[in-house]
Amino acid sequence: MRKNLVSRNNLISYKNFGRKNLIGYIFSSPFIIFTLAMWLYPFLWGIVISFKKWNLISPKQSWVGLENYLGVIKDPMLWVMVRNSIYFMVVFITITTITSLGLALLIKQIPKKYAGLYIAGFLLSYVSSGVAYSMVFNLLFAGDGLVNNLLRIFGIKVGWFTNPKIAMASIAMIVCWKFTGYYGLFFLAGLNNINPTLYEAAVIDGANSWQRFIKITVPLLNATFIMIIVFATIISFNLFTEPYMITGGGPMNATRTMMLEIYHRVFGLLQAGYGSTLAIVSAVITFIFVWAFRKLIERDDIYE
Amino acid sequence: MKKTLVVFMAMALMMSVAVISQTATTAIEFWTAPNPFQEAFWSEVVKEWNNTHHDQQIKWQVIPAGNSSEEVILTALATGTGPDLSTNIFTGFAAQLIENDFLVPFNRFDGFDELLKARSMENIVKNGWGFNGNYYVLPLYTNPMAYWWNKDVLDELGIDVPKTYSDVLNLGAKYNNPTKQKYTILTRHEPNWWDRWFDFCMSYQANSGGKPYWDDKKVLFNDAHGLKYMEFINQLFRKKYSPTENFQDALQKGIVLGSIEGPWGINYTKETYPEFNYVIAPPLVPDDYPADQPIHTFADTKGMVMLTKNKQKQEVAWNFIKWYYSDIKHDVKWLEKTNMLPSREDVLARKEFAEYLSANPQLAEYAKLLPYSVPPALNSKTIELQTKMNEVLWEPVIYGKKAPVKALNDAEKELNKIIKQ
Amino acid sequence: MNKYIKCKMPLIYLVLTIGLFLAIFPYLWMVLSSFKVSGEIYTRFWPTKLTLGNYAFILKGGTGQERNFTGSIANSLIISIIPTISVIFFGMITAYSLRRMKICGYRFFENLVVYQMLFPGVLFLIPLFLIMRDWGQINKHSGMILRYLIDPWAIFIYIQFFKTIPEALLEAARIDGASEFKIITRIMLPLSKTTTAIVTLFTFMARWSEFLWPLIVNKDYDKMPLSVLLALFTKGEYQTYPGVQMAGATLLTLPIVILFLVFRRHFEEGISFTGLKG
Repeated sequence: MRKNLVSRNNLISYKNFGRKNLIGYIFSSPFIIFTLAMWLYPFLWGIVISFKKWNLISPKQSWVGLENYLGVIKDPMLWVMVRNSIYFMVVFITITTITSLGLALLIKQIPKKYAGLYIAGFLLSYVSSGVAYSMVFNLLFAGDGLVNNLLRIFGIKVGWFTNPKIAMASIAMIVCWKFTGYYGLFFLAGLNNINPTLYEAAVIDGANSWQRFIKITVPLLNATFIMIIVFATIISFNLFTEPYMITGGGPMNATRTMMLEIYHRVFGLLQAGYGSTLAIVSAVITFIFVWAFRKLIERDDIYE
Repeated sequence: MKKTLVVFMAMALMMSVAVISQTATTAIEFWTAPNPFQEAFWSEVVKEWNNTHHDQQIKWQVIPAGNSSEEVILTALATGTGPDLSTNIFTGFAAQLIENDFLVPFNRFDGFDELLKARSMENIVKNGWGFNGNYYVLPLYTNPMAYWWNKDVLDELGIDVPKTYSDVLNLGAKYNNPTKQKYTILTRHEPNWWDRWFDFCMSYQANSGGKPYWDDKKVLFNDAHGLKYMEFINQLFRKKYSPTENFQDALQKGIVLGSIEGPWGINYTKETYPEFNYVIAPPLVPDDYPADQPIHTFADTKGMVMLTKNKQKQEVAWNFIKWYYSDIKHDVKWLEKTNMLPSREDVLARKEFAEYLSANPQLAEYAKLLPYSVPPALNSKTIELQTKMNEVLWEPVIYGKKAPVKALNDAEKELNKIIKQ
Repeated sequence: MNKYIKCKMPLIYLVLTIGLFLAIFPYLWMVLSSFKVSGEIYTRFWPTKLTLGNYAFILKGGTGQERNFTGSIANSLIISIIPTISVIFFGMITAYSLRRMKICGYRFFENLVVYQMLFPGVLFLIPLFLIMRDWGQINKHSGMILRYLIDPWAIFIYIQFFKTIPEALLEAARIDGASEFKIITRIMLPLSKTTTAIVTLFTFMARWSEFLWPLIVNKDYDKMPLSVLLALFTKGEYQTYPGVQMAGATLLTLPIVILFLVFRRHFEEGISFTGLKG
């Protein structure tokens, strides 16, 4: 009886092999069509346009070979934007690591029922919309905004978005505000995955809490660090809404990002070819950064 | 099966509704400037037209612009969703559109010359809005730019309204105190290309007696006139006489004593800061500017263009233009609603305007500047040029990265490169 | 030791509470400002009198001009809800066919999913805009929606989740004669509540807040989502109405905050296996 069932079962699977594939392909066909139409096709087209000079309007599209690429590389603006992105990354990664790791370490100490409430509170900033919080911070940090009014009591005045030296740092801080709770959650998950016996062993070996933090916690959170750094790299080149809403790329191009420049080139000056080239160059630079970071920091086997 | 049928029928219904709603409208698309007062004006005028011309409807919307309406119009044209008729076009942008063959010349339509006479704008149009013998733009308004000075504080200090650069620097030495949020003058540092119209371009025209700062062949601003202004700007920012933070309504709130403003600020100030007391004065000039000479100023002037290639729509658009421009009632209403001066030669002469101007003394001050108002210098690459100007001339001097002489030399070189491209 | 803990705990709560205050302060200020008269926004934290004028302005068009904010909220809902449903539906059936039905070449398709997640979006912006133009999708809701109907990230996390469901469960259903589609709706869907909650939340959030794409493909006021209408309103002609801006910002923030509070538990549970989503 039992044997019979198994063989019948196999038979069903066998007979239905073709049918199953058919249904499976029907299920995944929207995805395949979508991939071809919205991913592969635009991807290739983007590459093609980058070798052309075209103003989006005229029927004339002339091949210019590598002219756009040479133009992008020779344009001093490219290095300004790379510099801005690195500045953003440094500020963002430093502050977010401190705030979100600190948050996770503190949350871990308190009972679960309160932890949930705190996490929810911190996560509220994450769900906020770019346009909305840019507007809020723009007013809060204005010349006579709340923050400067408070600082004036101490005789300090900061041009948060108008001083070219700190405008990008201010934007990085806004993005930190958004992501602290979210990353805190990741760090918390990472902390919860650390085997407590490691700490117990370290205590027996006489390690103090700072040594335990440096020798156990930090290395074991490696994956979380990598994730945050990679993410910071990607957003630093793709930043658009915040500088668009607040600074327009100024002052002195201090907050000009790749995305802002691409938008300006394509939709402000109608330079479709140049804009596409810039997009490709920006993707390549992002990949290089991500690759370099992983090479530098990623560890595969720690305390297995 | 039933379910599928219902869904299918619903979809078919929706599609047919979409098709019907598409075919029912043959109206022309009309875009106007994103400005609350102009919006209120056009809303009424278009309503009036649509009520009296049932066969020639106008679908009106405000240019959906965040940063600049030029950018939005270009993108819309690139996607084939642009307007048939649009306002808010300045000369340089018109030239750019003409180069791309988007505009329709008005002089090919019947009654063009009569229309110029009827609106009393023949000289204005013929002397500033021609492109290769054709006329593609009909100017709507001309806004001279002027300085506003905080009268109460100046009176308190016992100081006359500043006329020259030295006057401002002396005032600054006496009054300026950044830690107490007291600045002398507001000079804009925003990186928008159009902001340079209202500082550098305006001051160059004032210093040079109304000469253009470039033409369609090369840059003209790298001379003594440009230098005197940039040295002044350099001084202002080195001495912190101008704030570098963003303030909303810095002048009205008393954070600065003086600022360059257009007539569009009058109504807003009246509504929001009714107590604020100010004097309107022509642009500042260098100390050696001859006292007997009139002072020129920059005029922000925009016009209407036709973009449709469809003959039927062109006719509707032209009828609307004739209807609008030939009736002085519209210009009077314009003046009342927007507080901007219509581009007419008879603004100071006609009694229709006189009544409103005498009731609005601030605007009358602006009207007095009309004879000395100079439109933007003509170049089809204005937007690119002023973006670059900001980058190599304006910001480096403001933030003290370059000496004025070097910045002007660099700017001449870089901008000429763009013009020659 | 005991004493140490005793004074440590209040300190932890204190630091956390200060942090929490800073984290929600911008929200607090935004909501308060949206009820203030314009003179008090810059000068006072607590308003002396409350006004609904800012909301009335935004919903009715205060100075006479028409801004269809109510309509834009509807537009935002359209371009957020349709992709959310679609992303869940296609994410599920694709993940099912790849991971559980193992169609020919499923490994190739799974790699394709991962590649699509890795390629930065900036590469696709301009060509997708041109495609939308060529397909006549400019100034239409569909133009704002089409490219977001399927999300490889959703497929990916459904694949991750479907890996954990025992095959015996599916076999039993098949023997009972359930079709594959029925297996998805009757077995997989109820099992993947947490995953679906996460996909819903993230997709809705991303679409609701989306700014750049609708800014590019739509210039029609009647179809503008709230984010774009509000940005144009603020950047353009209404710089001088801070109270109205904050009322708009509050309206823009509210729906996602509500959705987040509804799905909060799933969010914290699911975060560890879903990975990062910008």
